[in-house]
Amino acid sequence: MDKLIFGRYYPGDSFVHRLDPRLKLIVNILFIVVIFFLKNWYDYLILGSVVLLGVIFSGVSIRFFLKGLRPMLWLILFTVILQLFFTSGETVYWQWGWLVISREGLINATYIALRFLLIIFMSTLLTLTTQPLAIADGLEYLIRPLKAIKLPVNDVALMLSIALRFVPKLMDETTKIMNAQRARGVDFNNGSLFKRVKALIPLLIPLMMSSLDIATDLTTAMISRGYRDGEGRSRFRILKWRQRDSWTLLGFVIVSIAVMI
Amino acid sequence: MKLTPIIEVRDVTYRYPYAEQPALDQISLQMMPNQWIAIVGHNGSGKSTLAKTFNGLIEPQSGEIYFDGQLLTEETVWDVRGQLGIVFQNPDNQFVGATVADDVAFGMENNGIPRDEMLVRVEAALRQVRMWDYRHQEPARLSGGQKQRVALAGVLAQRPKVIILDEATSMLDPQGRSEIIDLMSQLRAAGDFTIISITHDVDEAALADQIFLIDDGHLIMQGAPDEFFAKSDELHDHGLIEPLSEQIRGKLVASGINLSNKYLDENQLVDELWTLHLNM
Ligand SMILES: Nc1ncnc2c1ncn2[C@@H]1O[C@H](COP(=O)(O)OP(=O)(O)OP(=O)(O)O)[C@@H](O)[C@H]1O
Ligand SMILES: [Mg+2]
Repeated sequence: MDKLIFGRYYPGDSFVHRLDPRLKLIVNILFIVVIFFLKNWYDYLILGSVVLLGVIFSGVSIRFFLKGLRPMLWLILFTVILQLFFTSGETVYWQWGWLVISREGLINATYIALRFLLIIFMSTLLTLTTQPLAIADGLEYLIRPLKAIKLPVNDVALMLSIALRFVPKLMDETTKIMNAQRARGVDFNNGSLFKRVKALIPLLIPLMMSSLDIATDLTTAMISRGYRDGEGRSRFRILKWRQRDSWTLLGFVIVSIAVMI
Repeated sequence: MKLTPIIEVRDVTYRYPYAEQPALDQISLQMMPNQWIAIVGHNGSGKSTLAKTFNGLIEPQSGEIYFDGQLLTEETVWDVRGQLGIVFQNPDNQFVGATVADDVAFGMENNGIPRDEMLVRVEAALRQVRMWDYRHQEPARLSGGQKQRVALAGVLAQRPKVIILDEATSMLDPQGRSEIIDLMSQLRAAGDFTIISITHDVDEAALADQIFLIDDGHLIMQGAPDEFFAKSDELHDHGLIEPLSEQIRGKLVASGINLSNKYLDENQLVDELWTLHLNM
């Protein structure tokens, strides 16, 4: 089940761990924008070094980043193959009916693969070094302007953090129900596709029931402790923007401008 | 001058949706402030349901609840929730915060208490229940008894007038249980504080000032421990067994030994037995 969560938090106390979640979120968003402005190999090299620097300063083994890549592998492969065979260009190396391998196609495919790789590494860097809750806190700050259009920002943030917190709980619940159903003879792993999908029903229905139970209990506890809505609440957990965050942001912005012009 | 009851229940009836029997059936009772109150009764008798009506988690179909003389309505219920804390029976799924400290602060956040004040109260409450060392832990990863302590800390930090413990010591080890009971007694001695403990442990109920026996959503009887436990026939009718000392006293009296005709706790029983010997 652990495989499902891509880039789980890896506890640590490195420089990257200690950066403000807001900074890490902003850098991630900027990064995705910048990546689409890259024009030549040098730019990729520079951004690649930035990512590598982040990986090194996070103190997390590269193995965990590669693990983050795995669920995306098929998507990357698919896109790359599409680019490779369907981009027509001037210098054609090989052709068979619709399928063409051209110089341009080769270059495009490589660029796309690199973009995927860099974006995945960067976002894995965020999730590996930032607790889910800190990410939710950071998001709450960043979406604050949306209050102007009447989005209940505080409620959304609480919802998000509760949802994040209950992911492991629901995973445990799933494992428990699967074991209980296996003990009753349900086979989740063998048989035709149809059979396997059918085997999911005795899993999903109890899972839904227990999720509803959890939600009911939690709501009762929250109301009992005086929760009304996001308004008028004070905050126990606060985020602190430090100098190192400002410097990191400045550094990143400079590099971004350098590669974009 | 007559004292206002801290909680008064008048003719309350509540039936869960689709239930055949009402869980609370025309129940009326009064609980006095600054007392230690025990509610006893067998499984499914309606104790937890009753507790949930006190702060409006359940809205009865008929009858009224008064908190400190004030009728519970949609306007007053939020005020009451700040003054009455419940530690629920099931410690799972009642944690909102991601860490122990966050969770303890949740109730205070709802009431808009300033952060500096929260920091002080969170530490104080966690130290009181001996869970300060676990403040950065995820509540889900604690043991059942530790969860109950954290839930209690969350309620204590709000400084309520009334604390309801719904079988909240059931998962504690004997030492943990007596610690919590001592803590409760201290808090009560220190000021304006009522404890309502829902329990299956008759020895714990024997510590209370008043005991309420609930069955089938009715109040069967109420009284101080000495009168309460002396009515052993009624207790047996409603699935309760009196404390060990009372059982022993009953048997001794039945076999002709001349003991006083009221409930004695263990120490009193021992005293009476050895002084009895002296008289002979
Ligand atoms: N959420 C619910 N929906 C429907 N019926 C319920 C619900 N909760 C409790 N009941 C029913 O209401 C009655 C009283 O339940 P309650 O939980 O108040 O009992 P209790 O005295 O607290 O029991 P226990 O000692 O087991 O905690 C029971 O018959 C129970 O089946
Ligand atoms: Mg109960």
